[in-house]
Amino acid sequence: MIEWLRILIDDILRLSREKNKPVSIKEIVDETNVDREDVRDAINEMEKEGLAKYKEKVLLTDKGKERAALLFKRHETIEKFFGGKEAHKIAHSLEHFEDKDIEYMKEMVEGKKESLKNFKEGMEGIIAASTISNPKIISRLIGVGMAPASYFRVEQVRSDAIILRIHNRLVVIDASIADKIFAVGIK
Amino acid sequence: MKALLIGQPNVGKSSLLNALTGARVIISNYPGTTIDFTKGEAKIKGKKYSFIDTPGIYNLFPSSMEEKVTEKIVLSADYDFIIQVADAVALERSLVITMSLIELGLPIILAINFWEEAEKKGIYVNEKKLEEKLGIKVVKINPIKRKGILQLVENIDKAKKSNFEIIYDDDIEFAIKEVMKRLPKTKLSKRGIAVKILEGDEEAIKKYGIDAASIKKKIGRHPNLSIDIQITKSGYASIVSKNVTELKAIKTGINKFDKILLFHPVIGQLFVLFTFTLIFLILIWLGGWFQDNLFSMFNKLIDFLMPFIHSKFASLLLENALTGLAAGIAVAIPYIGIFYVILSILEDSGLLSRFIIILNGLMKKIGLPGKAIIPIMLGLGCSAAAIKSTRILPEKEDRIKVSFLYSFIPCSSRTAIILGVVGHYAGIGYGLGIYLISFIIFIITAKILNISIKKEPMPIIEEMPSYRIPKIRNVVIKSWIRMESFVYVVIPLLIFGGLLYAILLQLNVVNAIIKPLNFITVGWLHLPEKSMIALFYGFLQKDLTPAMLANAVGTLNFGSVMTKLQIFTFGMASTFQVPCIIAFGMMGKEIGWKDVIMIEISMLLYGLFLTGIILRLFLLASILF
Repeated sequence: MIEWLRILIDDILRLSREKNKPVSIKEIVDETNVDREDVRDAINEMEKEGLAKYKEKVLLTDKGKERAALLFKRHETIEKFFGGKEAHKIAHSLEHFEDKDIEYMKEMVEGKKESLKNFKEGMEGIIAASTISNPKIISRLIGVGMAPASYFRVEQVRSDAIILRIHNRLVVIDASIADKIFAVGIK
Repeated sequence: MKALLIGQPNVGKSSLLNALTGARVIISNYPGTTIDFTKGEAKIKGKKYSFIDTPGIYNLFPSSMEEKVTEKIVLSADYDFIIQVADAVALERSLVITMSLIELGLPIILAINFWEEAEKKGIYVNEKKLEEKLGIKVVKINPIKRKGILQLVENIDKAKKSNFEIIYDDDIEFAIKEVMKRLPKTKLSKRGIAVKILEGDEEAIKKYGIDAASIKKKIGRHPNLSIDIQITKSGYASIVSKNVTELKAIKTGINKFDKILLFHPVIGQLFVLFTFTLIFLILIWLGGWFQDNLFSMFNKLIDFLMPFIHSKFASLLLENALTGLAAGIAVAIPYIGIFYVILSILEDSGLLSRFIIILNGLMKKIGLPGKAIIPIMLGLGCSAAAIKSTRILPEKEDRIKVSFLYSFIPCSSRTAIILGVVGHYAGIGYGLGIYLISFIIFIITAKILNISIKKEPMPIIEEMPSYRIPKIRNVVIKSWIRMESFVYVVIPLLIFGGLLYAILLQLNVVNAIIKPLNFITVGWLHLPEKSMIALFYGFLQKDLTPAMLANAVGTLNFGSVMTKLQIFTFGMASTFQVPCIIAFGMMGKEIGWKDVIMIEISMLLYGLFLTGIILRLFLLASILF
């Protein structure tokens, strides 16, 4: 199937789930900014796959509902790790990855987010979000491997800095920065 | 064909360049060695290829000067393709850079280094899968052991643009399209540039003159667009890397040595202090040994040659030229050479990067980022080279601060004055006294600078390289490359300086030049008036100082013509200055002439002022006690 068509179908499924009721073509067009004809194509394809039936509105079949639930869960997972104020939007752009691609994140979604400064030596976790607003610092953090959804282990805690093993490299982070990074603990 | 080598600091770009071309490139075990471009050439399949090694970057969105340098050349599009060196151990980090390169529509080959280390750690990168996902050529290499190089060379013409697409959310996509409409035709992909502009990338905004503020306003739902774009890209990098990497048993744990060295607040700092003390002891002992022996050789040479020359002017010329040369070879080279060898060992072992962390707290107290310890340590070698290395610092303010401070970080040439002249002829106590005073003034000056140049230092976010055993060959090459310019530039200068002085003597104009400045030398500093010559030459080049002092006072045995206190004062006066004319030029190039002229003048006056004050404190103390 063509890539955009699959993305559009995912969008329709997600929208239906979010609204929790059948959606109309107009609603879909408004939400996705796609042409009417394309939406029609997508709905046709959904009918063919048995995901939905079209009667004035898009009615999801059981199979469609199941798929939508899966998508929603995936969205939620990504949202958790690629957080920030716009977590929802970012998650939306990443959720088009296939399910198996983000499998690794799902296992950790249950934990609670906590500031990195609360992590003690030897504790492990997954980077989830930050409240840092300086893009240069974010760029640097991502560059040294502190991107969202990265596994880490706290190796040492100093008064002025924290030393992590992340992507198998040792990285030192200023304590003032560690305060603003949030992670989900494992174990 | 022209190829750029791009990658993280310390990822093996320089060793790849070595392996590809046989060029001599400095390889270090701390981030930030390649602060300039190094070029190497090779002929492959009958075609001439030039490879350009660039300063390491963590991200194509720069957070330091060196990263800016690399970004600028990437955006210039003045090359044919890119070889990105990636780190198999931390693939995701490398892919963050790859994503940006792909987005800019650049032809790439991905060379994966450290895969053996990764496999030892239980990380397996599937290069075929990665090739498939990204649609670019991926090759595993080990440039140090020269593995995979042949395969890379075989595929060197296979660099191509990737079709991989990073899709942002609808609002960002909308903004991208709006910016793209306003972009002129470019060699790079419009989409990639639009993303960079929206990211707030200074270089891209400057280059294309679009800042997209109005577009950003339209999509008010992204208050921090830059971060959202970066996070999305890192998300793609993360997901791609997870899908081509297989993890079997990960070994964790931290080196025991690190545990003690880094964690313990006292032991760590004691260790650094111990290392510095050791360096000075070696310099004093070994440097002094070389100095004595080389000098006596030169004296024998002069004594041997003199009887053969009968013209007074010729013998004056020869004697001064040889004294200049002797000062260079006997006083400067041993100290500089020994220092660079020690520094290279510290770098290559990975210890120097640990110093960043150990001293972070102390550096913060004087308002500098922990990372500033690298340019400061390099400044103990040669200030001119060190000034360039300030590029690793995140902010311009930090660079200006450190540049000021070089006046109080004795470089090897000044070490030669402090140890070779002051230590040798006035006593080692006086020499160490100058170090101590330099250190105290360094701290005070840093504090003063903090008031005038306000800027919170960027918080430390650094990678620590693994420990490696330094390779003798690498240490020797590196020390030589760093000394090369000294030998080729400074030694001729020394001989020339000696000759010029001989001519001035012959013309009998020396007194006319130094007399008007007596109020400084004799009045303020209590020095013999002729020492002005040495101070003035020192202003141009510190290695000239001992030589010209010898010329001016007519002997190398300074102790016979100057009191200990005078030698001490002379040492301070010639130490507390902007290092030399070469450093001055380098600073001008790096941080701008306006700032540098200000630094030069204020530091000269400040240095002379402080020297006089300290002298008076000593005199006062000798009266009181």
